[in-house]
Amino acid sequence: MRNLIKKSFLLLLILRGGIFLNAQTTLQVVSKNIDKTLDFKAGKAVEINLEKANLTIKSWASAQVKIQVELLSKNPQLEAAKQDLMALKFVAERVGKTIYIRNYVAIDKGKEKPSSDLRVLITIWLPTDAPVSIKNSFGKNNIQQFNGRIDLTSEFCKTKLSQLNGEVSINTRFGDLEGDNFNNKLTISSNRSNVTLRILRGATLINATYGKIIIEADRTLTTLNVNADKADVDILNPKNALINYFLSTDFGTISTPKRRNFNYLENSKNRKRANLQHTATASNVTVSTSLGHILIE
Amino acid sequence: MNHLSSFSASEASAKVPFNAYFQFMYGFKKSKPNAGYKPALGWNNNLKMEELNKNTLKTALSKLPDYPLSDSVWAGIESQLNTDKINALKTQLKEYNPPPLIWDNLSLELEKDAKSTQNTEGGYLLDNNSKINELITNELIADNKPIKKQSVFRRLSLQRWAMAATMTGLIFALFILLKRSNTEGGANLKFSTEIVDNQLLKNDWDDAELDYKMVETLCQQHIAACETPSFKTLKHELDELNQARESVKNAIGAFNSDTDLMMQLKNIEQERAVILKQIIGVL
Repeated sequence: MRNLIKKSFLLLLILRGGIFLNAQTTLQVVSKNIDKTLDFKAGKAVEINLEKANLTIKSWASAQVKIQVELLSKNPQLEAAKQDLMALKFVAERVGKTIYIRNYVAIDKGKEKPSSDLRVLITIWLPTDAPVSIKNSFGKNNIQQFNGRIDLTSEFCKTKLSQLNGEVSINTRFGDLEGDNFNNKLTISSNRSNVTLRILRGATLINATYGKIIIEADRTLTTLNVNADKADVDILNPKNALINYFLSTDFGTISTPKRRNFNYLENSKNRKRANLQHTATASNVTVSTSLGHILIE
Repeated sequence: MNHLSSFSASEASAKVPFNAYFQFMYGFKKSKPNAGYKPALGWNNNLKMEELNKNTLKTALSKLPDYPLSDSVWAGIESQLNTDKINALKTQLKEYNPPPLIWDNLSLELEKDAKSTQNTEGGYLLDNNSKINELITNELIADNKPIKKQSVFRRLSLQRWAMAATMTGLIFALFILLKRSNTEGGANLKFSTEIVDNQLLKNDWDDAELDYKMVETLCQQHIAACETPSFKTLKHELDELNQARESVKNAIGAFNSDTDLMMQLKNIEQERAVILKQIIGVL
């Protein structure tokens, strides 16, 4: 009888434990590696067009473009994962003066869309000053220590940029962008994206719709212009650098620290304008929003 | 007839009737002494003469009648020849291997002959290479000369070299194609497994879709409200979010394990919820 009680108690414990343990599924992961190297000459450009790709761009002191790709397919059924991986294509080729790098899913006529989770992990080494144009969606972008011009179009992506010495132009939609150490002209067009930037040494222009813009302003800042439609803008000034502020909002709010003595030129319900001017040589920050708040800290 | 084998190929191929040539060389048919000939300076007159009227001589020779010699004449000539001396001289002759070009030309000629034989003899093809080799070997055996085997490479004609090179190229190309198709066909596939929490695979994003479809129903009841600019602005935003939501849902698929995309979808859903509340407020 005692044994029966013990066993019942143990069974209850196991069942109770089972309730708290989450069920899991084992996915079969099939992958394929591709390595490719292409010659690069001055005057050429690189165009990258990716989908569901985790992209990393690095620069190196070589006149070649080196590409390392891993194509991944995940599915509970191994055979389905293998078949779907075959549909995931990768191409890297030179046409004229442009090197094209892209991936896509090729579905044969009459066949169903792949059910597996398809993903691309790609690392590209570019000559340090090669101009590059990138399009990526549903993935990640990571670019560091690069001198060439960058044109990035990103949808539903997380993007990290750091130590970029060339001109940078970014168009992001439904994605998060983080970056620091921009040493040249920076232009950002964002839609429903959160943008966080630090150390902006070049002239910076941001046109944002929805989302949140956070700028860490320090002594390195030169010129910053933010036009935000239904987006909030936070300017953080931790090191108290001398910055001239020109702030305005329609149907929004402006919050400034009392110690800074901002001059409110207009403070009606629908429209607010506030300036803070130190010297002509100080950095200039201009922010205008509609239906959004401006916060200076 | 052994002495004839020392004739050069050009002599043998000259189109002069043999008997006429023989008569000219051995003096059976006498012509006028020194007629048309001038002795070369410093040379024996009988051995080296410079022909002044070559064409006339050739024409005259070609017009000479042919007479077959009787066997007794040949027997007489043979008896006069010192065969021992000739054999001794033959052993002193140097041997030279012909350049590969000769073999190539021979092969080409034989192939031409073989083709013509095949055409004229109803498809019968002679193995000319083996035949000529046999003839040469027999002659060498008859002359007690050492048989020098020609290397295989020398015997190969240019055409055969070309054929061999083409075949090698085809085999190499086939190898490359097979290797590439293997690579793309899954020869270098890697396999592993990944454990995913079922919460991530739970596809319950459409549970609240009926609420959003309710907007259309409400607009049929509140037509005037749905024509206002504020409603249109909100509806435009909602449509944009709906479109984005569908894109992310497609990207997530059935077996997604990437939480970043799910967070994106969650944010879109939250924004949609805010817009829906505003739309309901307008209506």
